[in-house]
Amino acid sequence: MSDLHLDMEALAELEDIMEDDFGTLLETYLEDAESKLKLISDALGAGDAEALRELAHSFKGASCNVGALPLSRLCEDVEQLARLDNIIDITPLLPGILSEYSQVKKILQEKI
Amino acid sequence: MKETITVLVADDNDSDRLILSTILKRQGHDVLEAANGREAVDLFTEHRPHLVLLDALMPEVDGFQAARMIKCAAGEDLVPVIFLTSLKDASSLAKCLEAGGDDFLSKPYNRVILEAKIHAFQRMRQMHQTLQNQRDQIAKNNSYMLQEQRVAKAVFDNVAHSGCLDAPNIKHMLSPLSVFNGDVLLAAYKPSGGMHLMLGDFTGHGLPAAVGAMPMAEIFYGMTAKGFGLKDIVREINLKLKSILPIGVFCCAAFADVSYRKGSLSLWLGGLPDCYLIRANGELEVFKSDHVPIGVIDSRSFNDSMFEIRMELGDRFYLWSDGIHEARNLRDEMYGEQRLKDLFVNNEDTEALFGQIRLDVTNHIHGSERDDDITMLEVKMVDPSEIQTETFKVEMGAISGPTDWKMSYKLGPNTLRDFNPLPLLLQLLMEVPGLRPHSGTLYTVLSELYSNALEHGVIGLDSKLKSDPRGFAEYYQKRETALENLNTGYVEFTFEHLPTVEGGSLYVQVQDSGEGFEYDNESFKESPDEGFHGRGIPLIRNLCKRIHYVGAGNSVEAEFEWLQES
Repeated sequence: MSDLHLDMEALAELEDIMEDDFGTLLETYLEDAESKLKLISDALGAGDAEALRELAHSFKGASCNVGALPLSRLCEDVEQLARLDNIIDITPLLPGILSEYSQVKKILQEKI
Repeated sequence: MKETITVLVADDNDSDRLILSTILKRQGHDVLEAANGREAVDLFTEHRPHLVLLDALMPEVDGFQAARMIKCAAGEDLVPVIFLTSLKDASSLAKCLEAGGDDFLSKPYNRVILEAKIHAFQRMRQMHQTLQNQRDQIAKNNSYMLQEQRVAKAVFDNVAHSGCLDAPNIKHMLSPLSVFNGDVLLAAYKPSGGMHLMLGDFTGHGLPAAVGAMPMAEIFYGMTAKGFGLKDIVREINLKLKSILPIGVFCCAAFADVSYRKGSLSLWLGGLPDCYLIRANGELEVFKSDHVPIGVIDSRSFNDSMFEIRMELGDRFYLWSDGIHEARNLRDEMYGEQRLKDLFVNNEDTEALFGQIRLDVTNHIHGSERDDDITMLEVKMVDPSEIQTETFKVEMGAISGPTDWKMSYKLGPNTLRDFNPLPLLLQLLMEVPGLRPHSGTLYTVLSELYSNALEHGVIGLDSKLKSDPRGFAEYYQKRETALENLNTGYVEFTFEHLPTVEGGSLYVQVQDSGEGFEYDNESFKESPDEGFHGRGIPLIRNLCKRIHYVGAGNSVEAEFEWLQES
């Protein structure tokens, strides 16, 4: 049920746009995502709300563009909480994000 | 038509940037990529792309700051900045616009929308470019035009301001609204030592107004120098302007003939505001325009009647255009006639009056743009000795031209009615090179003898009438009526010129059909002011070698001698 995690239509359009570069795009996204998630986890540990907000915002946009809408929405929740300086409520969201990302990653890797 | 442009993409997300650049490249555009705001500004400065796509939230320098810096660096060029954003709240979007952003593109990116936006901004950019080109063209044209006007003005000034506006008894003010103003101010010495003055206000400004002023000045100076009377000059100028000016362009004008010797001023007023005369004792007299402006009606219906005004020493006459009356202050109030009149009524020192008017009007319009030309002239009645007339310098070679000749010229009633023979006669005399330096003197003598013959001889007017201001006007009224109804009488000039050892001698006889008068050539030598009933003889006496009346007193002889300069 891959379409729970990814908007397949948007992804198909992206494939259409990117043509040969589609694989490169997905790899780029995934690399970027790994590094963002690492940074998000670090920022959470450090209690750096500002860094969290920026990272979540950026990751939200990138995920949205590849059609990973549930992941994008989770990032938006983090961004909102970070804006309110609410680190405590962000901590429980992290496992959900990681699990959602792993689903997305699995599907995208198949596409590459 | 699809045009290839260079687009700068600034986004910190590698994947987002990749998507955008791919879309843009596929559409045929060149792409520059930046991963943060600082890189974006650097790339912009270096490559001057046509369009900028800018992520709002970026490390280093964020999108808002980058947008400001890019707009600043773009200067006059229109470089559209489109913010890439997933921001949704109104205040964040407003912040993008405040920073100079022109539009938004939200995630996920849609290539159709992106392409449409690029096209829209391309059109805007082209319009902006056209606008700038046209603006530059207009600025260029304008500077050409000003340059041409400066050249034309230099020519105009040579023609229009070569007169005697700097005479000691004249104060004047000319303030150009642009390079050319619609106002003309002319002043010229008459050969007899008096002055012709003219103030004109053409409809409109700039070149159209100046074009009309050129022939006006030419005729004014040319005819004045040749000894024509003011009426002839006004008629000639009206005829000329009527024939060259388009309908709707005309010239409101005042013409004045000032005689310092007689203490008189003849005034023709057409379409100008009321003109003021302030007596030395502070008394104010107002003259209203009684004619249509110059260049409106044809010669047949043109009226050349004038106010004949007696002026005592120290009396001052003022001419102005409506520029003073219509000068506006910051609250758009006109200066108005009342303020002007108050200055005259409350004045205690006529010598300072001109300066006061200038100051008061300048204070009134302080800080606001002048919306008409302000032109004003004051002429003061002074003793003839205070006016330094121009001396005509003539290159003289060996004696040539006519030296031994005689002629007579007899004018009958039809001719006397409205023809002025003096310019013709003066021109005849000027054929003798030796007489040319004396044109002013000869003109004075001839005009005095002619007006005596016509007014006291042919018409029989009593010169005593002219001794008070009311009688002065009456005198000229009677003169006009008598001339209109003239059907008998004559004035005859006889000239004889003979060479002498040292130069030449001119004999002039003027005879009229009048009854003559009782004269006494002998007593006149003793007390020159008596016995000639204001016939201006004392003056002529000083200018000629000999003058005396003969017969019944309706004939006078004058002799004039000139010496060859060695």
